[in-house]
Amino acid sequence: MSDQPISQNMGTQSQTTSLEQNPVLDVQFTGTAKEYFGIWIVNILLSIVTLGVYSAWAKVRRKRYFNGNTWIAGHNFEYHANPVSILKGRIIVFVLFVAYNITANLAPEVAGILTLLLAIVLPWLINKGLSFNARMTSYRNIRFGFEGNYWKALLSLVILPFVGFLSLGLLLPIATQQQAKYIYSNHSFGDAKFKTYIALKPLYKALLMAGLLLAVSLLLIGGIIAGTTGILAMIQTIDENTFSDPGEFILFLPFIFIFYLGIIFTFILPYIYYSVRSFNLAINHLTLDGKHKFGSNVKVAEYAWILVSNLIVTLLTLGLMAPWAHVRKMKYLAAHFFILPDGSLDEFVDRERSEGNVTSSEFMDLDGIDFGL
Amino acid sequence: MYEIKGRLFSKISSESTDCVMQCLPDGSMEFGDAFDKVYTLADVENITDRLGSIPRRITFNDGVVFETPDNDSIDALFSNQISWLAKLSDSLDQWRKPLIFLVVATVLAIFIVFKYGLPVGARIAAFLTPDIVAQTIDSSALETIDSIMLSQSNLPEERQQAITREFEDLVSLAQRMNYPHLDNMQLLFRDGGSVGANAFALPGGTVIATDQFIELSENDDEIIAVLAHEIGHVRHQHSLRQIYEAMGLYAMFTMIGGGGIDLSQEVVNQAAFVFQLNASRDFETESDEFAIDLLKAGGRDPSYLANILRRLTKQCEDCEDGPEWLSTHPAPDGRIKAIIDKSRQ
Repeated sequence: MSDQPISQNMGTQSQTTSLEQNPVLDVQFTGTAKEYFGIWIVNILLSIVTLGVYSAWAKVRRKRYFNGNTWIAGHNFEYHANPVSILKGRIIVFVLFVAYNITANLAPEVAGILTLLLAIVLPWLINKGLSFNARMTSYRNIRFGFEGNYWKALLSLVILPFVGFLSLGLLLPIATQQQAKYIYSNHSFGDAKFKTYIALKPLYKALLMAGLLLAVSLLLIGGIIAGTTGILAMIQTIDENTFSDPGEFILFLPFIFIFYLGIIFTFILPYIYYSVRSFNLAINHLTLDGKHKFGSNVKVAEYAWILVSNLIVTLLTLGLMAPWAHVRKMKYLAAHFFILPDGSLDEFVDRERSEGNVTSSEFMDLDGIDFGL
Repeated sequence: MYEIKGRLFSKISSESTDCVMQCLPDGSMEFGDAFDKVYTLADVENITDRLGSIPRRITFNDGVVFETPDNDSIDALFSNQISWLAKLSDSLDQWRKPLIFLVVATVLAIFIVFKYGLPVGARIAAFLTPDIVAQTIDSSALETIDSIMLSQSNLPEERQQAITREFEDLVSLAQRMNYPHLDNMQLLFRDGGSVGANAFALPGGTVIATDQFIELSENDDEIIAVLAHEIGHVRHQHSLRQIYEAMGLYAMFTMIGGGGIDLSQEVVNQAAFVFQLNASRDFETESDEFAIDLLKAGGRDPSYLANILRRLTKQCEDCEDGPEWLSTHPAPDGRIKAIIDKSRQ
C-alpha cells in the first residue's frame, strides 16, 4: 500500500515534488472572498433578524466554509458540529456570564470566590473545548481528537504563562514550549497521535528578537506620543456639542484610528514576531504517527503585513471587507504550510472517542481563547 | 436513472474509492463494481448542507460515506432530506445578482435593532432589574467616583441641609404623583474638582451635585430645576437603560464579528461605547420634560432650567480639561429652546 499515488481527481491538483522519494504535499485554500462574502452577509442578516439565535448556525457555516475549502492531496476538511448543540452551549455560557456579572455587582466578595472557581475549572473547560473542536473536525472521513489532562493543562496553560508574565517575559519560552507540547502532542488523527517538541534555544532567540523589536517600537512610540499630544489637546477641548454634530464626529474618528494603529504597531508587532516564530518551530517539529512530518514557513514580515493591512482595510470599509481579509489570511497560512508524508495517507483508522463538551467550546469562543495563529 | 460521480469511504478508514453512485427511480442507491451494497433513502443518516462549492457528504446509517462535488444533483435528488433552514440559507447564498440588496437589508436590520430593538430591550431589562441591584451599583460607582475624581464638599452644613430639604420636598411631590422608581432617592454634595460644575444621577437614586454647580447657580430655583431633571433620569431608569444598551451593543458586535475580523474586533467593540454617547441625548429630553411637569406641579417656573443649562454650557466651552463625556448636560440651542417653549405651555 505504501507509495500508492494519492487520488487527485477532486478539488485542485496538489503539487508533488520529489524529496527523498517522498512527495511534499501542499495545502490549498480554495475559498474566495466573493463567495465567502455572500455566506458572511447572510450569516449576519439572519443572526440579526433572529436576535442572535441563528449565530450558532452561522458559526457552523463559517467553520464548514473554511474547513471545506482547505485541501491536502485532493481531500478537504469538514466540520461536523450540530448547530442546535452549539446554540445550547451558547445559551448556557450566556446565562452564566450574566449571572456572574450580577453577582459581581451585588456581592463583590462572592464574585472573588467565583473568579477563583473559574481559574480552578479553566483547565477542564479548555480540555473539553479543545476536545469538542477536534472531534468535530475531520479529514478523509477520519475525525481529529484531543485527550487532555487536568493537571498538565493547569501547569502548561495557566501556571506557566502566569510565571512567564511575572518574570517579565524571561520565562515565557518555557511556557510556550510546554504549551505547544501540551496542545499539539495531545491531539490525534484517528488512532494516530501528533507529537511536537520545541527546544528552548530557538525560542529564546525569538524572544530576544521580539524584545529588540519592542525596544525600537518604544522609541517610535515616543514620537507617536509627541504627535498625538496635539490631538489629545484637541480631544479635550471638543465638548459634547461637537459630538452631537455627526459631521464633526466623523472628522474626529481618524484620530482615534491613528491612536489605535500606534498602539498596534508598538505592542502587536513584537507579539506577532514571537508567535509566528514559535508556531513555525512547533509545526516544523510536528510528527503524526511518528513518521509523517509537517512544515511551516510563515514569514513574520509578510504575515504581520497581512494582519495589519487587513485591519486597516476592514476598518476603512466599515467591516464590509472582513470576508476578504479573512480569506486572504487563510490563503497565506495555507500556502506556507506543507506536509512531508511517509507512505500512504490511506491507512488511518478512526476510533470511537468521547465527543468533548460544546459548552466549554462556546466558553472558549466567548472568552476569545484561541490557540495557534 | 441519475449518476453522481464521487468517492466512497468505508466506515472508519481514510481510504477512499472513486465511484459512480447510481440513483434508481425507486430511491435505491447502487455503486456498481466499487461496492456491492444497495442503500435506500431510509438508510441515509445525514446529508451535509450546501455551502459555497465545497463537496457534499452523504452518511449512511452503517457509517459509509459518499462524497461528491456535484451539489446540483444532490439538491435535485435529495430535496426531501434537506432541512428548510438549509434551503433558506442556501437560496440567500445563491442570490448573487442583487447582492447589494442583501447588504442594504443587513445594514437596515442593524439600524433597526440599534435604533428600536436595543432601547426597547434595555427598557424591559431595566424594568425587571430588582432595586437592590441598582442600589449596589450606586454604592460601588460612588466609591469609584469618590476615589478618582470627586472629594469632600466644602459647602456649609446649613446650605447643604437647606438644599436637601428642597430636594426631599420635590421627591415626595413626585411620589405623590405616582412616579415609579423613586423610593431610594438621596442627594450628596461633592467637590467636583476637574469635573467642575455638574450634577448627575446614579441608577439607584443617588444624585450628586458638585460645589461648583451650586456656586454657578444664581438662585435656589435653578438648583431645584436641575435636581428635578436628575430625578427624571432616575424615574425613567436612564442609567440602567444605558448600561443595558451598551451591553446589548457589545453583544451584537461580538456576535457579528465572530471569527472574521481578527484585530479589528477590539476596535469595533470600543466603538460600541463611543456610539453610546449619542444615545443619551434622547434621555436628556425625556428628563427635561419630566422636570418641567414636576416643577409646574410644584408651582414653580420651569424656565430656570433653561437659564442654568445655558450657563453650564457656556462654562463648558471655557473649561480647559475635565471629562466632558461624564457630563449629563450637553445643551445645544435646540434643547434650551424646547425647554422654554414647553415651560410656556
